[in-house]
Amino acid sequence: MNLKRPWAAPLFAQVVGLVIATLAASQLCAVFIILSLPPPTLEIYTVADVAQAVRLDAATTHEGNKLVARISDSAPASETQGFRRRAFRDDLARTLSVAPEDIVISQPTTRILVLHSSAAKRLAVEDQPILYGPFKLGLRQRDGRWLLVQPGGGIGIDAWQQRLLLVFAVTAAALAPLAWWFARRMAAPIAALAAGAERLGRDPRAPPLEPRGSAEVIAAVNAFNEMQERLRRHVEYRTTLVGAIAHDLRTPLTRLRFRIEAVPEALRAKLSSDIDEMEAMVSATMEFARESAKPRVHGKLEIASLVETVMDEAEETGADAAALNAERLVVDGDPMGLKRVLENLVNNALKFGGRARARALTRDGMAVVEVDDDGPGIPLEYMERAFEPFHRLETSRSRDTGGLGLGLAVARAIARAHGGDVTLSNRAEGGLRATLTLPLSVS
Amino acid sequence: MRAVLRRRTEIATEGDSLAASCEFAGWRLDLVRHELKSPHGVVVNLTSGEFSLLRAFVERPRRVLTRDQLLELARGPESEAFDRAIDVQISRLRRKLENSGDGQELIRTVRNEGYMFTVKVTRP
Repeated sequence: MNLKRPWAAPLFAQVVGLVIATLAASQLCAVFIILSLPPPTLEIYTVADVAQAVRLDAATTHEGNKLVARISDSAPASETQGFRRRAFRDDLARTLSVAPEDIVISQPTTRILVLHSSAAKRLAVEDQPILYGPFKLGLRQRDGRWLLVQPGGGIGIDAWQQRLLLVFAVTAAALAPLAWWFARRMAAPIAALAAGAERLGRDPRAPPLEPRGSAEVIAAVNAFNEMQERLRRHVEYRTTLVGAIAHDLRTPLTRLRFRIEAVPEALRAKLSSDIDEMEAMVSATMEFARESAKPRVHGKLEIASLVETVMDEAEETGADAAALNAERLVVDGDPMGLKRVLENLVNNALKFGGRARARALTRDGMAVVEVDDDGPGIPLEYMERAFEPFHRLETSRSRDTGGLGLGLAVARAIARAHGGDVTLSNRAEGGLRATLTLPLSVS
Repeated sequence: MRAVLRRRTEIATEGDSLAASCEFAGWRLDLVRHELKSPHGVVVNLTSGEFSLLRAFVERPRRVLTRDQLLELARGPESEAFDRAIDVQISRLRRKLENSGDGQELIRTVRNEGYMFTVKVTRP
């Protein structure tokens, strides 16, 4: 096989490339956001800001942060600690003309603020105490209650945290479609390969898979196609061989038929019937070879009409056969081949089960034809053996039930060539059910 | 053995089936391959009896045909089937035509006389 091998990067390189590209893209997103957005506001509060909040119940700082004040029954949780906070407290006490002991500053965590001298100049906070980040400042009132001043209006997280979350959200939103596309691109050829392997199990003559995807997947697809081709040739060769042997047996059989004219009368009838039987076997075998190797003629076909035809024709010969509520179903297929499938199933039902009832329906997106009989059914362990060519479950080989054990083999070969299958099952209420499934025609 | 091998590569030839087919109400009846195609291009399978009956109808459209005439046309002069068999086959044929077509009535029952094929038949 000389399949075209398009060049494709190996999976290894694709994955490494993806990781590096993702990393670079996310970093680019972050850098872009950091450079393009204005720097986050500094949460710096001066003594003047807090004093204004105490007087007016609310204040807005130079940077645009808000302070709110409210009356509370209890003091802030912890004592003022650290010399910067104490300096702030003392400054505030002077500004408000209250005792420093009446002011308590509480901060949940100790933070370090590195303030660049230019920023300090811009904010006009050089050489004066400041408060940074979230805090609670309590001012004791004359009635023993506390006036609490704290930053308000935010969503509870710091500006730098907000910025980090924004970077994460933007990066995720930008990379998600890329990741989706890439994952699909890698997974699709593997899924196609799996579907092809599944199809090969049913029909070795399925068209070869198109090699695409990463280098490893293309190699697997090519190996798979070659295997399928070898398998197909093997099956065809075997079938052709069987057909050819059967064909060549006909000539000596014909010669035999002439030569028995010379044997005594008593023996002649028996020999003749033996020859008849052999000829029937030969033609059945040739038909099997022919059906298995036949190219498929594809056209749309209404399966219920076929079911009705087969059942009506069986009924015309006096058999107990009927089609029950046949649904109108369109499949792609060869009318002669599918008719043979149904005839074989119905003949089996009539021969071993006494009567045949058929119905057509859809199940799981497939066209299904069920042929039921009233016979004894088949033990579960012999179910699959029934499909083997020349295998007959009835060991007597009696003439009146006839046959070579090719009916089900032919039926299954044709059904599988159509992308469907034939299966057997015992019905709960007794009798055997042969089920033909075929893919529904699209459109 | 060679004959078997040759048969495998044989290609189904179309033949001169074009001359021997006719159309009615979107349906197409191939008289050589005994194949009926619905207006949607779907093959609807017929028994040989149903096919003969339909051929008798399309060869004599828009004419009332009695059961005896139909019997003779479909089964040959020396057939001995009884009336009811024709009725059963006509009802089956009708059902197949109605279910796969546009629901149009193609075969009309003419009371006490027989049946009539109601649409125009063209031969390409």
